[in-house]
Amino acid sequence: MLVFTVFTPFVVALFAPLLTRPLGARAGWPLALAFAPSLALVALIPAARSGMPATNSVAWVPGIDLSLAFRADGFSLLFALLVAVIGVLVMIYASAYLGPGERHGRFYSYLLLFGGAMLGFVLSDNLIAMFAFWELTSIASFLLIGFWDERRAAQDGAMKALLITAAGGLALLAAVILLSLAGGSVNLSQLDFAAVREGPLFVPTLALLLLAALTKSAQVPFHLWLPTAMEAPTPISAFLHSATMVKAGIVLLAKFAPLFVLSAWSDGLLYLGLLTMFWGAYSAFKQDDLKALLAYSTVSQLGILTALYGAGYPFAATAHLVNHAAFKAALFLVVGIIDHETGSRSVRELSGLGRKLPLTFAVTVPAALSMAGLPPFGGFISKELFYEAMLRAGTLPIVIAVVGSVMTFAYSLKFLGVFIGPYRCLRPHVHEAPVWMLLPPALLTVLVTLFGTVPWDATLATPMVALAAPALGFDAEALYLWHGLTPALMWSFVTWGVGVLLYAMREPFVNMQRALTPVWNANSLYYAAVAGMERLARLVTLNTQNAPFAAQLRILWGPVALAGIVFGFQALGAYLPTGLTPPPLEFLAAALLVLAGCYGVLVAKTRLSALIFTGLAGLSLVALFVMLRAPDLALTQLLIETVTVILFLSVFRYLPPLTRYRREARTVLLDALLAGSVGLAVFSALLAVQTPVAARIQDFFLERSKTEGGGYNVVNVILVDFRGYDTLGEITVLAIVGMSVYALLKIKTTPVKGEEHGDG
Amino acid sequence: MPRDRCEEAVNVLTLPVLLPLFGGTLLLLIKRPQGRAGVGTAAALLTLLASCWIAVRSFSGTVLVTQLGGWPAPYGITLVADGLTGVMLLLSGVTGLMTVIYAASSLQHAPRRGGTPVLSRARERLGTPALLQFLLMGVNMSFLTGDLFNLFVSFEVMLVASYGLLLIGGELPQLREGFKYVVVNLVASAIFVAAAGLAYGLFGTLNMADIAARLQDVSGDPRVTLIVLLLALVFATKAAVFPFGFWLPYSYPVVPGAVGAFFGAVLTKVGVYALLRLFTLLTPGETALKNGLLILATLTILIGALGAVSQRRWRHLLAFANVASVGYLVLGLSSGALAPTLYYLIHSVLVIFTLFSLAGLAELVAGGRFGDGHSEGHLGAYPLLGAVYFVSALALAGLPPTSGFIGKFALVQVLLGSGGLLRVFASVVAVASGLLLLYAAMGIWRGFFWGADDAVHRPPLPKGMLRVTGAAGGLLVMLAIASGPVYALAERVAVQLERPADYISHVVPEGDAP
Repeated sequence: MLVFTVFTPFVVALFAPLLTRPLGARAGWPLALAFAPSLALVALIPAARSGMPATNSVAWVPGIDLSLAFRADGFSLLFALLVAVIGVLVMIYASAYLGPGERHGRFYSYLLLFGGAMLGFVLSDNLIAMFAFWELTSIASFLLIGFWDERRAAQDGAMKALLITAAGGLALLAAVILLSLAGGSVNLSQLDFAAVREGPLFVPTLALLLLAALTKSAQVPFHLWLPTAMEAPTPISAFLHSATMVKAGIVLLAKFAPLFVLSAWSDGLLYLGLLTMFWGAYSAFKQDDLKALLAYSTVSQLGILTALYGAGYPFAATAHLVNHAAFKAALFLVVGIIDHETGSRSVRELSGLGRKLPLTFAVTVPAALSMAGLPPFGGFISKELFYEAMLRAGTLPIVIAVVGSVMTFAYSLKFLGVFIGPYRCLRPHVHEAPVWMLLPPALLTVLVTLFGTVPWDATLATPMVALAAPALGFDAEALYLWHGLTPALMWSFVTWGVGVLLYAMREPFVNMQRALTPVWNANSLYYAAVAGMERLARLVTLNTQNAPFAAQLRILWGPVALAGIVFGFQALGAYLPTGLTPPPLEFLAAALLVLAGCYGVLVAKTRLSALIFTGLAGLSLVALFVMLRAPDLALTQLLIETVTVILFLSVFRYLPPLTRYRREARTVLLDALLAGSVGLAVFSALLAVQTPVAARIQDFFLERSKTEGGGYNVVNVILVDFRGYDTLGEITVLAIVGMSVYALLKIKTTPVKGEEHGDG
Repeated sequence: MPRDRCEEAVNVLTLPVLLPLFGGTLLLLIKRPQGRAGVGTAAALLTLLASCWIAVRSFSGTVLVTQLGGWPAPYGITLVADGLTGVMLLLSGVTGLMTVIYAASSLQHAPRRGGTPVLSRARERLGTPALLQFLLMGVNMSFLTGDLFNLFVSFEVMLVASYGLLLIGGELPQLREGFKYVVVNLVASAIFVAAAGLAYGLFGTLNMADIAARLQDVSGDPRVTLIVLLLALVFATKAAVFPFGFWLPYSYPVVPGAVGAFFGAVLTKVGVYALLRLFTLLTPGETALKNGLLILATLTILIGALGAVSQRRWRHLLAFANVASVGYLVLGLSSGALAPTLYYLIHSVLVIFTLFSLAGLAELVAGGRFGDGHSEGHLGAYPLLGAVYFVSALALAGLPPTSGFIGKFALVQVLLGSGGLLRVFASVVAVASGLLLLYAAMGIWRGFFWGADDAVHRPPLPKGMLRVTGAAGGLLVMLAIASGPVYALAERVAVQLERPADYISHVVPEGDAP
């Protein structure tokens, strides 16, 4: 069932283009059915509540313990249902939102791909599979942000999001391996958290895990990718970049909460979350673009969730998670409506829209007030829980929380501001959006309202949050609208009062914010890092690949010389063949001539003299072969020398003069040293192997050549019989060389313009 | 001993070598291009069938052996096919067939001569199809031989054919890069033949199984270390391991696009194959050497990934990515993670092949010589190519749910599991390079598939090229889906490699006595 649930969206994604071709954007309706199995997960709630969650697993790669093992515990189930509900709503919304000219097939395919990945992530019990789905959500997000790919900004935003979240993903990969090694299992439900905490690699494991969570959930300073991700179509922003995907990091924090019990870690997360909350709210207030405002607001709210889960308040966190998903998705969809109907998203260009768009206004108010944290909406309840938690955490946390909430209150009013006041809009005829665009945010708004007005209701808010209790290990309390005059409520009053003041003073405040904008920020750091990486890449490549060819060849010969000298001489010491006699005098003479030839080549000033010296070395070698009574080798060598000289002379006049390649004395010396070392290496190695570890097989050939091979010349019999297969290969080599040379000479070359001359 | 029956059956082992040889020779005699296409395809298909037969037999765990000329090992030349050979033959067979079809199809729109990126008619007429068969022959010969000197000969066949393919056309960049390619390989060959000579001197035999058998009584002999070092140097050069891989990144892009995929996918892997043999059969020990290679492999990954980031042109980028993927393979084999290495090898061949074939198509689309990224917005016109590219790019970077992820994950799992600072550092590089490769690959995605579509003219793409590219992408997806059984196979082959006694006893059953 769970496997089917997760894979249905993937499979449907493959066939989405078939449906969009005849149906266009309306294909969103039938395609939304892909989430039907995930909506049916409701049936698994009783099992999850009883603490015996449904599981389901398919083996994928048993060799590396990778199986698609899913487990529907309460928390996973809650989040999966959230994904499914918002997924369906977004598909329906998109069917009206997308214009006729859009690429519907691509849109729905990517969207379903994401849906499947997200469901897979939350339901995965196998950590490797969880990582895989995690990365898949990043990939789908990349494609969706870049949906309008002709825009450079969209491309750039997609790339930024991908790089940051994929980098975090790689940290998760490493963390997963370390976790499974220390915790004794790749399945989350069987992971031994205590063992991980006491393991030697606990700190790096946790650091990697946090890196993954914080990048994905856009915590400062990794928040920079989220605002630019708003290049995506608005339904996508609602679905991925506010309600679900960005919460993946939070889900990770929640699921691995037992690892953070140490106060240093939980304090770190608390303050990081609060910092993000403050910075997000502060930046949101500055924005004129409604979508950007919501983006920063999302950053801020994710900060709250990080602080709550990190510091060990899963109850408050889960309540806020559900609330935020609902009201933020609704607000994004509203922005989509405003954009769709007025052609603008700017606070400066819009005002008084409530008159022309009363229904939209009605949908917006509860959602925006919920974001502001006003009763009787869901946001109020979870903000009270947040305050209570922060009051318990200390003075500084509550102060930051209140300051952040003041800004939150103010920017929520700013958002609502486009609906009130005198009517202003650039487009002449503005009317309500199609019903299918209004209904999805309306449903979410109803949810938010019910969550606030009847939180104790036995069918909605309290049981919803309580569902996550067994999985996350907290005691569920009933939610109430009225808690009495608690300190938290006092702080709320302060928040509202100051918030209203701040909203009233928005002009000077925003001007001050603009004036204070630092010249660098996380974004400029990102671009500097990317540019730095490119520069580094070019530098490394230039320095490792573009060396002169001669230098590259030295790299190749160097190890031979080194190995020969180190091991060859070492071996010579132990395995010097016995009974060596000094060579005859004529041998020495020939050897000296070879050396002279080599030296001559090295110092030759002209090509012709170099050629003559090569010939000298070669012919002296022939003399040596004759002395060793190897006439066949001598003949072969002689032939080669002759042909080489003839060939060389025939191309001689085409070659540039040697003086063009002037070499310094240092290089000549280096080359001579290198060549000498290689020679010495081979020499010592040859001597050293004269005492073989076992008898050589040559006797066999001597014995059988005549009787079985039918020839007196053993070398010939080896060539044509014992090792005839080698000869077949060598003949082929000759044939290939022949045909290649023919082809090279025959083909007409076309000069290529703009190619620099070879570096010889 | 059922060996007699075995020997009879396994003369098939010669077929993956002989079929391309006959095919190539026949191609030289055929006048019409259509005839050449047909014969080439048939030869490649038959070769693939023979390879499949061998592979299936070898996967059952037996070591297939044929003693050529009836001379018992170690006196003649022995052909051996174990699981590793089976895997390699299958890969070369599949990619070989696809390359032949791709090359033949690329002629469909090729101009009469000169400056085409893919393949010109003149080049085809002057022997490219035959050279391709000879190349296939040399590659298969390397995989099948059980003899050290014969491995040298196989390399020569393969290299000489590759020289021809690289140089025919005679364009300036071809000659410039080709010159380096030839010289480097000649140097490597010289070292190889010297090492083979030394090996015969020391061990008294050239048969690899026999060498391994004789090695069992030897330990701590510096002469063995020297020979192994020289061989490792040669194979590392062929595999383009840093710092001996400088010849690759600029030479592969000048290979005609029609055959470039085979170069990238298979040729470098022959070096990896040889290293695998060296370190499993000949020197199971040599920890210091392996650690040295591990460091070089780590650097190779880094250099390859950074190189890919530094490039803007498709094939140059792919050539560097290929270097990185060799780095992963060598990292795996030098750290003893054989099963992940084998899996990654299969993945790497397929992903590099797919990307290079896409590059060939992109060059046709963009019209530029290398596909410089000045032509963008092609996703709308070629959605399936885009899908294939995207999946292969993810696979290249090692992102889920592709085979690249599974291979890399398996590798890092082993590395981190075995501990040690060196291995931890290697895993960090292995993981982080994935991000660099992703950045590089997505650069192409942005530059070619995304963007404003302002193409006025789209050339028709040859069907054969499209089909081959699609098939390669399909195989890549299939590999990811069927990772379970494939990885299990890799584990079986790895076990076989870790126990060379089996291999040795099949080749030289009675020891040294004739």
